[in-house]
Amino acid sequence: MSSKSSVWYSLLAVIAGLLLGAILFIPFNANPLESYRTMFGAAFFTLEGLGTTFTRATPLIFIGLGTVVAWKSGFFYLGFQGSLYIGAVGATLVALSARSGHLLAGAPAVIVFASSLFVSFLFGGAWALIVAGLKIRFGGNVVLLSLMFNYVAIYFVNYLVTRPLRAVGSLPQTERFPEKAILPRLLGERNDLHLGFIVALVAVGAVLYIMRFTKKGYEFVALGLNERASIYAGINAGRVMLQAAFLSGGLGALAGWSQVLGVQYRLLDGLDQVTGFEGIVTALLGGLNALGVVVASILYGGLANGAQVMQRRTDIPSSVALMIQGIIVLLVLTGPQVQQRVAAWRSRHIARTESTGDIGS
Amino acid sequence: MVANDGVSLLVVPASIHAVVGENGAGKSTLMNVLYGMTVPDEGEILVDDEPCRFRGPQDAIKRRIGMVHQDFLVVPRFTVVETITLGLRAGVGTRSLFRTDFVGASKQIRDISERFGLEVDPNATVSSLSVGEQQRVEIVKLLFRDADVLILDEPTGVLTPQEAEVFFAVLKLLKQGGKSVLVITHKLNEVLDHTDEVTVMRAGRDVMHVMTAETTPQELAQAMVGERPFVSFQREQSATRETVLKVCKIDLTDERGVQRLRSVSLNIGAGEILGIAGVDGNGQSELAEVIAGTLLPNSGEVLIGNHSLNGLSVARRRRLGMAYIPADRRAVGSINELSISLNTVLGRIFNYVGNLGFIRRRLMRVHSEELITKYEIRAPSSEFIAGNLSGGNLQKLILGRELMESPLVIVFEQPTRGLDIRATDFVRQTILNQRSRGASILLISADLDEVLMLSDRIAVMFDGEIVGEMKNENLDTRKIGLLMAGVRQ
Repeated sequence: MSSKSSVWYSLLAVIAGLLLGAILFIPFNANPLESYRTMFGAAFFTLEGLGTTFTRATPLIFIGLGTVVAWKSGFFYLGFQGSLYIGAVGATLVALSARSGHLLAGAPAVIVFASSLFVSFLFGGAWALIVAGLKIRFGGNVVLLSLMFNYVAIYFVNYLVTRPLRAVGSLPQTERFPEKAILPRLLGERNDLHLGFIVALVAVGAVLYIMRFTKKGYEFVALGLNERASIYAGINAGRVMLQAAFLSGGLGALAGWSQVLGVQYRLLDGLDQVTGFEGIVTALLGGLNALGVVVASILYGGLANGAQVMQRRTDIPSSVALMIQGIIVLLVLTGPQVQQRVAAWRSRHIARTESTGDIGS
Repeated sequence: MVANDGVSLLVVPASIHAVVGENGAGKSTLMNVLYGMTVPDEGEILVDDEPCRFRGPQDAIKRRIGMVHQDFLVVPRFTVVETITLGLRAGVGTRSLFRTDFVGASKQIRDISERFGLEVDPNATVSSLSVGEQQRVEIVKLLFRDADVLILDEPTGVLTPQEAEVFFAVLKLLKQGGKSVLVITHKLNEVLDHTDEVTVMRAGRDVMHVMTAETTPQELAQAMVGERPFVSFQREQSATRETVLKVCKIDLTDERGVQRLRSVSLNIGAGEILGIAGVDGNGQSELAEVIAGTLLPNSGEVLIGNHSLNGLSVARRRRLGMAYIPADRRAVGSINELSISLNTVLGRIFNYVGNLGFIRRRLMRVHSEELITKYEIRAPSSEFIAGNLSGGNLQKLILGRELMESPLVIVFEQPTRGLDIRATDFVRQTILNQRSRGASILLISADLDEVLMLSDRIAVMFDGEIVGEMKNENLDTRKIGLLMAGVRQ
């Protein structure tokens, strides 16, 4: 199956998902076409809406990229929620140290920016490294380990914002970050779009480059496809898996980095419940391909954004959009099976017509 | 291909009957026919003089024939009694339609255990059992189903020597209990010490049938190996040259504590082929992996020239001039999902890293296209997916890749297994060309003809040990046959 045909299939699945989703508007006495126009218009056809869509897509892109790297290397990491939280902690520590009277108080904004990126990546990478190390050293199930580590990260943040980093006030959260630690808005104050989106696009380029054009990427893919053959070929399976884990955990951490520095401006309890898993879904929707991740994340971010606008303007709850998202995901993920059946049916059909042709001649 | 050609086999009650033969002699096919896994084209099976048609194992079980495979399939988390009753109709031993009576079944299992000396605890978890104990569970499973004929495929292959002793004691009790036991094996000592009758198979035929007491190991070995037609490739005589690959006293124990290699030592000179003869599973692949560096031995040393390879990674060994053509082309030798060109650089990717860490794709493509031309690999382009190549073409790709940089030492493991005649000839000619070039070659093959045809010297492996080494001149093939079966003069 060529990748070209699977792109077409995904597109078809999205359209089919939207058509099926149209039924969901009927109980609300809404015109599906009208509702879709509201949704997509708000998400994609105004500059402000597009800014919000891209902002929502940003953490999804980071998690999606992390998923691509980890899963392609045969490291089935599900701990992106944890990496996101730990990455947010890293970013928070740097941002808070830019307050007056702290370590980076005198540093220019660009230094604060660079060090927040670096520390956040390092924290998230190290977090995933623990899981990979445990797996390599003691065996065990990466899926289970990484899911459990999510809880550790979530409650660690909960502890930080209720105790040592808690700001004065009634809410469990840190102080607002100083202005120079915050990611600048790109299109003015009224548009959500911030610098994190550009960083996400740079990360897409980096992942594309690493996976497709470097020795390391080749080793990742080889290990993911066939561990025995990789070891036979002299690839140090343990070390390469650690490297993949570090890279993917670091990318996942940048989702937390972009959320706290670009959207929330502080670390708070329950900072992001869904992105760590939705990012995995967008990676799968995008066919575990870095460019596919961008498209899927923007679609996902757009649907979520449009749904909220729709809910605000009409009576239709935004959960309708969530259901449509679910339908699309199901259709895209069953794609390979459907494609196989279509191919099998087609070859049978061709064989039949050919054999009857033989009889005729 | 005809796997079994007019084979007859008579199994009498209360006896232990061995079926012996080389790899590919048709033993397993015959047993699969008996157990209903394969439907024969011709011929019939009679149980108590009644003709039977087996369409599946369940038909065979109904006629009280049961089989234990070489690798038994178990559910690790089940208890013994659950394993044994698995697949039986619920309500066995009870009046209930839906519930299995585990208590009753456990009692029955204990009875069987006692009667035949098969010690098993019905409530133990399967994952906590040793392989020997798991095998006993499998045998009890057959007895639980009232089997009168028990087929055991290479039963001692996975056992430690102590476990094997216990196993043969059990066989004796089974025989005394009136059961017929069919043992497939290649170990002649076991045959001579523990069985009543022997059937020897060779090339799909039953070439000999005798009472064990009336035969000698020499006679059996000759029947197994047969008269070898003289086949020869053209090759020049090799002069004695300096040793390149040296293997010194390698010991290897696997994770279960079974010793796989016992003090294996070898020397191979430049331009020399050392062939390892032996039945599959006697430590040959482990030896290859120890040399290649994918398995670490417990003790001993491998050297290329004066360089010790101890502690060197696979990648370092490759750079020192080591090449390895593994037995499993699809699972180990290549990555099926990747293109020919990406498979061409497998294990040699470090040669293709350019500026900024970019892979030099053009160079990669040029090299893989050279390979396609030189080795006549039938593929539309270098971007063709390697897994879609035929076995012969894939093997050519692996050969070409491994030999590209004129390695000093080459390990060939089952290089022609499953290939057609043309591809086989091509591979053998390639091996001889490498010899002329001056490479030191270790040739591991379960195909004795191949070993005899290509080797300068032959070493025979049995049970992890080199049991004999000789020059390939005026050889007595019977002697090799005996050694392969574990009989030493």
